[in-house]
Amino acid sequence: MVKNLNVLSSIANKDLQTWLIWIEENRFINLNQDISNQKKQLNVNIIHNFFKPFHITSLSALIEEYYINGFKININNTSSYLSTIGFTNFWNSNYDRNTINHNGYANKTYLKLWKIEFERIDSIVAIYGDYYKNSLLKNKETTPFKQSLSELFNNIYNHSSSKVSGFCMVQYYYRKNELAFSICDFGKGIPKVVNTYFEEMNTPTLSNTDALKKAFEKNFTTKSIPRNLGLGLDYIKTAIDTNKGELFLISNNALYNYEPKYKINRITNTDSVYFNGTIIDIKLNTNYFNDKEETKQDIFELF
Amino acid sequence: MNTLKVSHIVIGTSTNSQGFILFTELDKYLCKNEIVIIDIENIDYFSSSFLNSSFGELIAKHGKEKVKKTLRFTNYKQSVLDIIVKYINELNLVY
Repeated sequence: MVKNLNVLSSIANKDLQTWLIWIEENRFINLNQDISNQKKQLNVNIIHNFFKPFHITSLSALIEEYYINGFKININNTSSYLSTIGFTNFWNSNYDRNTINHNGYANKTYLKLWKIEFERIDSIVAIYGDYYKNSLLKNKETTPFKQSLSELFNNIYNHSSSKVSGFCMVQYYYRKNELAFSICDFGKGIPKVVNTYFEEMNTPTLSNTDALKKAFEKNFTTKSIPRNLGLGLDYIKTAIDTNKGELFLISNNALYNYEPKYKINRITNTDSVYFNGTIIDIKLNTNYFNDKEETKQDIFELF
Repeated sequence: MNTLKVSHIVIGTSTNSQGFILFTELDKYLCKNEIVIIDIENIDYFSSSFLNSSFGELIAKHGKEKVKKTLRFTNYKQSVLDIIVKYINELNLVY
């Protein structure tokens, strides 16, 4: 069976919801054919040039789902950007998925695409944070960026149960002084995870929008890890507040748009799309990152 | 006085598993009622998962008062120390 995916500007240039409708329509799980005994190939024809992080992460998750189900992946691409971030060769057997640094490049605004692997969270967070700290964001601390990435990666590991795992892409925009990053997984989705927890606790379930709202409440936890206290998503919101950032999230059919600088904080129902997974798009304004801090050598007592 | 350098004990400060490694090391001192200085040089963030499995576990086992009396911090960036202090204060809501 040969499946052709045409990534066209007419789709990619529209909003995230329209893009996710296209992603959902083309997912492996929506192939309504028995292909068990067939030779399988996915041709991805990219006829588009301007990619935002959310395009990259969701398209990668889409392709990965075919890949882990035995499809050979063939990417036809004219975008040098997609080649540089490793996307074009990502599904080649000899591609090193664990290296996100560029060899021989300095001051690029992006690192390579990363498929989230729990065992490497610590080292990858360090690489991302230190790369920007030592190149484009000299004299700045990247603490809120590192912390937000950590919280997002842990969330996927703890909650999503995604066979595809998740993908991460980070892009720095010079003109806006903006660090943008997207994480996408094809897991259960946050509202579904919250409601599964309520069902297990014999508590009434919530609408998907209310369930997403609940997930962002400080100290709400589904107790996936016994000692976890439900602070992770709150830490992300704090990073957005402090750094004049924004968050755009779609999970199942709930959409969260958080832009405190414009006093936007709304969770709505996405009428047009039910996304089997979660996509998060975060932007932080690096002008508000702390300047490099001195290390204090005195002994601090908590009392 | 005992000193524990966090960057020598854990490979990062993102995950529960690394947090639990720090907990295990600190717990030895608390069990002996010995004061320990935690050196957090080169540490520039703590995830909530890491905090839950390190300082959260310590407080669950020994109580907040003992933890606060026993732990000291050095080689810290103020904003990073603030994350720990805020976390410990917020535990008031739960424990």
